Amino acid sequence: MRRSLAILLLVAAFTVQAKGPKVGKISCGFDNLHLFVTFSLSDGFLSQDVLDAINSTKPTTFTYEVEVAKKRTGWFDKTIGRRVVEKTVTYDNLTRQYDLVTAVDGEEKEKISLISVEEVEESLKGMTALDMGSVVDLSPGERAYYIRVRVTLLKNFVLWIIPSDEDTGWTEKELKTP
Amino acid sequence: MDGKRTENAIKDRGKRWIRLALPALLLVAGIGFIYHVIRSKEGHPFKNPLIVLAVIDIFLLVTLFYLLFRQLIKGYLQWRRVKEGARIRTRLLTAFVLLGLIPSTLLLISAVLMIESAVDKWFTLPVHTVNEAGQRLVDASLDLLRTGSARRADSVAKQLEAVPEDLQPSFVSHIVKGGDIDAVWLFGSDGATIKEWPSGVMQVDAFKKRKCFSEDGLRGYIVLGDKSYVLSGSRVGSSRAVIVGYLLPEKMLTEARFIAENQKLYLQAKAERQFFKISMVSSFLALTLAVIFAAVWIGMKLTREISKPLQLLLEGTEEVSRGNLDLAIPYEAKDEIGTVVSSFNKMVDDLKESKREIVKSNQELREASEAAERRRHYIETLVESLNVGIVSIGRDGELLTANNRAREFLGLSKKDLPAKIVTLPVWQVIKDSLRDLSRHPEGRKEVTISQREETRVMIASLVPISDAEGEVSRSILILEDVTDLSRTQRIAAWQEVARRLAHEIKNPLTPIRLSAQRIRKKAREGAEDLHEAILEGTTTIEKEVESMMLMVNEFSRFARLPEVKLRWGSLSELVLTSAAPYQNAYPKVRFSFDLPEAFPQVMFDHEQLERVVKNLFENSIEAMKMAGEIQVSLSMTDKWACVSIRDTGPGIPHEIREKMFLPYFSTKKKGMGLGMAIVARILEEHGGRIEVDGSYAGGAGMTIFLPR
Repeated sequence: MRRSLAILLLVAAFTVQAKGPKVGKISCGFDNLHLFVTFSLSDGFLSQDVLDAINSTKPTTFTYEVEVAKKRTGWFDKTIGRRVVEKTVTYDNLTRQYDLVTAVDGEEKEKISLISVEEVEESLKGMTALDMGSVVDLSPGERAYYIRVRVTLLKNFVLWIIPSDEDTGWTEKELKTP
Repeated sequence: MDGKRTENAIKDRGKRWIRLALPALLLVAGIGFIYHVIRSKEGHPFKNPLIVLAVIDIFLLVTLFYLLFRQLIKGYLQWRRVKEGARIRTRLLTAFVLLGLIPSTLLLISAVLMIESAVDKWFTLPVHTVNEAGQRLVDASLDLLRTGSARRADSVAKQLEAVPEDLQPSFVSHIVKGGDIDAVWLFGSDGATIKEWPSGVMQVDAFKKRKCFSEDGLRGYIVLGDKSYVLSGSRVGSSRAVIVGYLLPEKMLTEARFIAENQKLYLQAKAERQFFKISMVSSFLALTLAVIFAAVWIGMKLTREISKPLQLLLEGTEEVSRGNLDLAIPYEAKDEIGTVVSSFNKMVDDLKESKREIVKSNQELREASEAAERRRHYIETLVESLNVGIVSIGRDGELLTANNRAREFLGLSKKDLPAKIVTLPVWQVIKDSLRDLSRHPEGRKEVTISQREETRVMIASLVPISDAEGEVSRSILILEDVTDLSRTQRIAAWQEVARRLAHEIKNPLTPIRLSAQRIRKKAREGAEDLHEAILEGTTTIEKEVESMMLMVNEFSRFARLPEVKLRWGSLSELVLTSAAPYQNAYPKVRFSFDLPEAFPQVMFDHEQLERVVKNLFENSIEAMKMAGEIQVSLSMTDKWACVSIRDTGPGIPHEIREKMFLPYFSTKKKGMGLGMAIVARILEEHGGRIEVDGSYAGGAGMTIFLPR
């Protein structure tokens, strides 16, 4: 019975992920020994469910997780650096504007008001030149490093009680250290 | 037994710990995993009540499934192994589970349907339409202000473009003062404010300023605060932009805010509808699972409590049926099952006691049997080694066993027994002898058996053996080989006879010879008294010859005793008939009789027994010198019919009592001493005997014993 339930959960999770948005191209660059990551979500990530959630006037948070990790043979990969960017959109039905608050690692960085859905979509589509911090600890020329990005769009439940967030799943890109 | 039970208890405790520890470990691992997943997504796992409910639901579900699955597998295995108490335990548990499961599940389904229905009714079309209409009204009102502000921003921008840049700040002030605009911001492409009128109204953020330089410009942004404005902006030339602000009417804004707030609540409730349903369903599910869990748990506990003593009873019964009585069911309760267990324990104790007694009796019996066997073996060995033949004879006269000597006598081997004996010619001889012996309970008879040209003389004795009912079931025939003894006795007897004859003949021969010598002498001398001498001599010779004739007749009579011819008769009649001549002949002799009327008849030879009785009468009369009393009485024992004859004579001295029945023994001057020997022999031929009555002191007393 438990095995059946586990299979059901896996299938459900896979289905949710397969239908949902994906992280598109990931690019990274180094400037002044800092790693900067740029990525964007695939088109159509702002689905009707997401729009309904935003238009419900409740704050809707998009979580962007960016990690620098190192592959390890026979064991879990090691996370070297991690940034969590949360963009919370709150729709004001009085002004019909969208307040967008951006926080990096829990610290509020920017708060803007957007007047249209297009502006909201543009703001949520991705991150540009996200500073992942210093790369002095990374071994030069090492090919085991990679960057992985996951975006969580909605919090959801399977079978009423099983938490199953709508996210992109991890998308990885090899990191070539300078 | 106790040690084994303790060992089993320790094992059971260990298994119970493993059974508890394993799922507990899995549960902790599962909760840890869930905690980790939630923490990675939510930050704090218990911030969201839905997640808390979900964790509780999962915990209860997993525990419940584990319990049910475990009980299902356990019950199935026990059912297959036909373990004691498994069936009733499975039935009881199934009943308890179903009792909790069915109503709880039905309640849950009803609750879910009701929640679905009730929550959906909150968001019906009319409610939605009213809310939407209100929202549209607010939107339309604000749109008017937005549109107006955007047009005014464009016109102000055009007006400013016509003014030299250095005059633009003063122009801005002029516009505000002279027109309908409530606030104006003039700033450069770098975002730096050039003119703000009136100053300090509000801070315009960089995003709005950048927006003014875009193709569409800033269009109808509403900024809410203590004073709320509608902002619109346009580019002024290539390097400057202007934002105009209109104060929102307070009354309209209040109403709009009210409508928007309600709409907001409606929208949020609608968005959270699913979560609300989920939380309700989760709550009910948790409650239902808790109820089912409690029902299962209580069911298991009750089942265990009910089935445990039954299982113990069944196991105990099984043990008892295997013969193990060293057990006591360790269960104490004041209910009916406790009484049953207590009775069972008592029954086992009683059985144990009975078994102990049986074992003890069995042991005693075995010892007795072994002793009997040893005795039997000893007797068998003894019988086998005896110099006499011992033969066991069945009820119908068949030969059952025979010892070594008997087989030798009969010319048999062990394997010939018991069937072959009837075909042996010798058997007929024995059988004929047995026919006679059977009439005499302690009879002995001399039997001559010819076997393989050898003739043996044996004394056959027959001893009847009675069974528990007193019936003679078999007899023991004892064969004593007296061939040599008989020959010796016969020689001795002949020697005695010869000696006696010589003696008896010698006695009359002397007077005969002396008479003959006297007659010859007288005749040779021509004596005058020859005639007298002849007369006296011949008289003496005649007398002595007569004496010799008498002696010869006595011998002849003793030697030619006829064979007894037994027939039923009355001893009373015999006694009276025998006494009659003597009563007449001897008037001084008085006869007294004690003859019971109902005295039973006995088998005897009338003629010979009459001779015996007369002989005894004659001896008494002679001993009493023709005067006295003779008492005759009849009596009966279980085996013998007795005739007692007592006189008032001098009695029989002790020293001659043993010898008086031997031939040629006599205390009389006349007679050969064969009278009592003939009496004894006649009675012996009858299977009886004669004894001196030692208890009688008034004279001589003799008792005749005849078999009944």
